Formats: sequence, C-alpha cells, structure tokens
Amino acid sequence: MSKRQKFVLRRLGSALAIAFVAISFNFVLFRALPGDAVTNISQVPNVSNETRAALRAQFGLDKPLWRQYFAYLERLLQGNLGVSYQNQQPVAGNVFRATGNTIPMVGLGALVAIAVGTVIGVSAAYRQGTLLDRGITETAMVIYSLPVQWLGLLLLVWFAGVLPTSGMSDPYLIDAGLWATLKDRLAHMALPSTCVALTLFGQFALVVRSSMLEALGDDHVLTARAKGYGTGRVVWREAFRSAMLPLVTLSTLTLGFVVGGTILVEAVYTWPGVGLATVQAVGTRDYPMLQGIFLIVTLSVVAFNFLGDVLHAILDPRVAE
Amino acid sequence: MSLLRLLRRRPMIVLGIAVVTVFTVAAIVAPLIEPYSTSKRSGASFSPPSGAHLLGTDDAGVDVLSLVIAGAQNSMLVGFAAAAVAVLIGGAIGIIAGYWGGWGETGLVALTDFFLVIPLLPLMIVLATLFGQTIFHIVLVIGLLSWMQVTYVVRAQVRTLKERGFVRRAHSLGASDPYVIRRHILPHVAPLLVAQTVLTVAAAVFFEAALAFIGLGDPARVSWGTIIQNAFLHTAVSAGAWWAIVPPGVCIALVVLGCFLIGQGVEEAMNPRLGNAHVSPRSFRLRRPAEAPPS
Repeated sequence: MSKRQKFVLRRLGSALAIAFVAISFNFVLFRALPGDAVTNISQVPNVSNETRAALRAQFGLDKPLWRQYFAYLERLLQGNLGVSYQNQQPVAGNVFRATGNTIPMVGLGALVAIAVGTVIGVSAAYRQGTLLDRGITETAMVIYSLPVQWLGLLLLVWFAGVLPTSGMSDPYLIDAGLWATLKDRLAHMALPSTCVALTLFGQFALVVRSSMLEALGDDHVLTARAKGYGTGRVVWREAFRSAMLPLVTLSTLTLGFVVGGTILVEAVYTWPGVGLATVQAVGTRDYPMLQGIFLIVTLSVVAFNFLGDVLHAILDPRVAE
Repeated sequence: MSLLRLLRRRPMIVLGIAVVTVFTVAAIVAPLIEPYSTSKRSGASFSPPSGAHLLGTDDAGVDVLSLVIAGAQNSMLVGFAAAAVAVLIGGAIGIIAGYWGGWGETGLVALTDFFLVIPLLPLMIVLATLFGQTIFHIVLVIGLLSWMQVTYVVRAQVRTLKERGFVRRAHSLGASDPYVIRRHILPHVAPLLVAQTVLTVAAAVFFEAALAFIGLGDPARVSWGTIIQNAFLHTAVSAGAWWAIVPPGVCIALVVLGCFLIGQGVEEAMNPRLGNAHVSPRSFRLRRPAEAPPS
C-alpha cells in the first residue's frame, strides 16, 4: 500500500468516526436535554396522565435511554429520520426535496464566488501593494463583515420590481416550454445566488491572494520568468498551479456547506430549500425535522471534508508523508 | 513591545479601538441618549428621516435612531459576554492541552476538531430552539460554540512556549506547574487572548443577528438583529423604507470591522511572518516588509 493510500484510509477512518460521533451527538442533543417530544405535545390543558403515558409509550420514550439510542441507530440505517410534525410526511423525503432545491441556487452562487474570487485574488497578488490590491482586499473585508440577511434585504429593496424577490418559480407559469421554465427559474435564482456569491467571494479572494503571494516568490516562477515566458503563462501556469492547494481546500469546505444552504439567504428570499425548512422547523418547533436537517447538514460537511483531504492528497503527495 | 509603540506602529488598531469604543460607550449610556422611547410611537409609520427623526421611523412609528441605540446595548452585551465565555473555555482548554500534552491533549484536540467540523449556525439554531430565548441562553449558545478557534491558537502558542529556555529554567529551579503557567505562559498568551476576544466579539454580534433573524432572539429586548428581523417581517422592503433597514446593518458591519482591525493588528504584531516580504513578480525588487512604517 502506498503512503498516499494509507493517508486516504486514515482520513476515511477519522471521517467515519466523526460521522458516528455526530450521529450520536444528534441523539443526545434532542433526547438528553430536559423536556421530550411528549412534554411539548401534551401542553394542552387537562392532559391525563394516562394519555401522557400512552404517548410516551407510542414514541418509545418509556424505554431506557440506551434502548432508545439503539432504536434510533437502527431506524437511521433504514433511512428513517422520523415524521415531520408539520406535514406528517417522512422527514427524509422532506429534507431530500429541500436539498434538491438548495443545491442549484447555492451551487451557482458558490461557483460564481470561486471564479470571481480567484480572478480578483490573482490580480491583487500580482499587483501587491498597489491601489488596486488595497482596494480589492479592503472591499473584500468590508463585504465579509456585512450581515448576510441585511445584504439580502438591501438587494431586495434595490431590485424589487426588476427581479422576482421570493419563491423558486412563478406560480402562474403553467405548462410553459422548457426554455420559459428555465428562464423563470434563473430569474428567481438571480437575487439569492448573487447574495450567496457576494458573501462568499471575499474569502476566496483573500485566500487566493495570500497563496499567490507566496507562489509568486517561488524559485520556479523566477526561473520561468528568466526563461522569458509571458506574464499569462508565468502567473497562471507556473504560480497559480502551485497556489491552488488552499483554493481547492476552501472550495470543498464551502461546497460542504452548500447542502446546509445558507439559512439566512433562503429565509430572506423564501427559497424552499434546506435553510427555509430549518427556519420553518424552528418556527413550528418541528423537532424531528430539525433533527433530520441537522444530521444531513453535518454529514454532508463531514463527507466534503473527507473529499477535500483526498483531493489534497492527490494534488500534493507531500501531505501523505 | 510596549503598548504605545505597538499602537504607533499600527494605526489601524487605534482606528479599530476607536470604533469599538464609540459603540461600547453608546451601549452603556443608551438610556440617556435615546431621543425617544423604543416602546412608544413617536411619529407616523415609516416616516422618512427628518429633523425630528434623524433616521426616520419604523412600521410602528418608533424612532429608528432610538432603536439602534437601544439595540447597541443588547448586541454589544451579547458580543462581549459570549466572547468572555468562549475565551475562558477556549483559553483553558488550549493551555491545558498545550501545556500537559499526552493523551489528554489528544482527546482535547479531537474534541476541538469535532466542533470545528460541525456547521456552527445550524447547531446554534438547534441549541437556541431547545434552550429557549432569553438573552442569557443566547449568550450561552454563542459562547459555548465559539471557543474552538481560541483553543487552536492558544494551544499552538503554549506548545512553543513550553520548549523555550526561560520556561525550562523555571522548571529546573523547582517552579510548580501552576506557577509557570501564571508567571510565564499566561503573560505570553495574553495578547493572543485579547486578539481572540475581540475577534470573537465580532463573530458573536454576527451570530446574534443571525439567530434573531430566524426568530430566536430575545423577544423582550431590542437588538440590531431584531431590528433587521422586524424590518423584514413588517414590510419595510415593500414600503421602500430603507432607513428602517440600513442603520442596524451598518452598525453591525462597523463593529465587526473594528474588531477585525484590532484582532488582525495584534496577531500580526505577534507574528511578523504574517506580513509578507516577497519578490515582486514584475520588478524583481525585494518588496519592503509590511512591518516597516509607511513612507
């Protein structure tokens, strides 16, 4: 087994361990805290103790904690995340649908952020110390310090009337052709995706800038320059390639958070994804839904972290040593 | 490095301190400087900024400037209190893990890594939903989940300090562990703790606003987060009342930026390698390091 394979296996082991701890943590979080599902449901006046006991038995809450824990693990293995209080549907299906809505919107925003952030970061590094560089780094920092929900509201104020401001599609658009549907979907995505891109690009610009600064000082870049290669080749093919590592890591980390959606952005634009589902679950105290969402979001982050480690090992064999 | 010299060399720290101080003082004397009551109508709904209402009024006719000042009180309170909780926990874990090492360190590092991986805002939302919505619980939720960065930075510093000559000498002269930590480790970690505290204040103000927006703020108190939430829920957008939306966000951004400036300045001063002295790709001159005063 090569060193690299060993490294990947080790990371897989630790990812699985973290996933298991996260699953158990999710159980503890919702069960071991004072007040269970029944104390919440039975808050109607005049609940008899018999009803309460019957409910408790129905939810399996009369069993010892470790039995509940194993029942929880068993249900998870069957893909059963419980039933939502809000619509009496399985949580797994609800979360799955919401994820399907979130990924295109946040994914688009994240991709734009990565592309724009990279170009901006590289230009800033190339012109380190100039007005352009200072302007870019300072703008990135200012935008980074704006509250996301507030930025979203400002975009709403500016673009109300120009672009659709809530939901995912026009409810009056029925049986439209593929092209019209796609256009409608993109128009609805425009504001939330822009908001996501704005909140993310600064990070990418700053990370790319600092790793490019380091790479531009490398010997092989100097050599390339001495050989008389043009600016484009020196910057992008020589320096950028060795500066890509942090960018790849940050990108996979960010993509891990895509599934979690950006709760605040979805709340502002009532985009029916995971984030909005979270807000609604909080508003209605829909614990099974909240628990399911939190589990899926956590597991996706762990999975993407692992993916980042693997990519890192492929791009930079030194990490395995 | 003496404090004065540090401040003279890094004017951005001074700027940051000035901004944060302004908001902190405003928060402390809030009841004295609010022009109107925050619980009573003092004008028409959504009246634009004017001489009587410098920042206009919100949907209920409440003066926005007064709301923002009252909001400063609770937002800054959450910020500082949560940061104190986080730095106490993070500092303690960082020092213990870095100083004693061994399996205890392995365990604490694993714990830190676990909480670094878990997506924070969703976890805060879950905890805030389960805990309840008083300001005390909000401080607790944010503080209990913001210590990881502190641990990370402090542990790294303590590990290098532990191997330094003066610490070893103190040990060989028979100094006890608590003494060494108090006299030699803590003073060297203190600037880092200050930087981390300030950075955590920024994060906490941010998180408070996020929780409030989702409806998990303390319903009995005004904060910058609840002002933004209120503007969103009560049609400030469709009324075009930007004055009810913009001010709280600007306040959050200013406090966060001020904290960044302080935190970054102190961290850079402690670790000059963060400033860069690279060969410029275009001129091949050695660039002046960031440490040098601007010419």
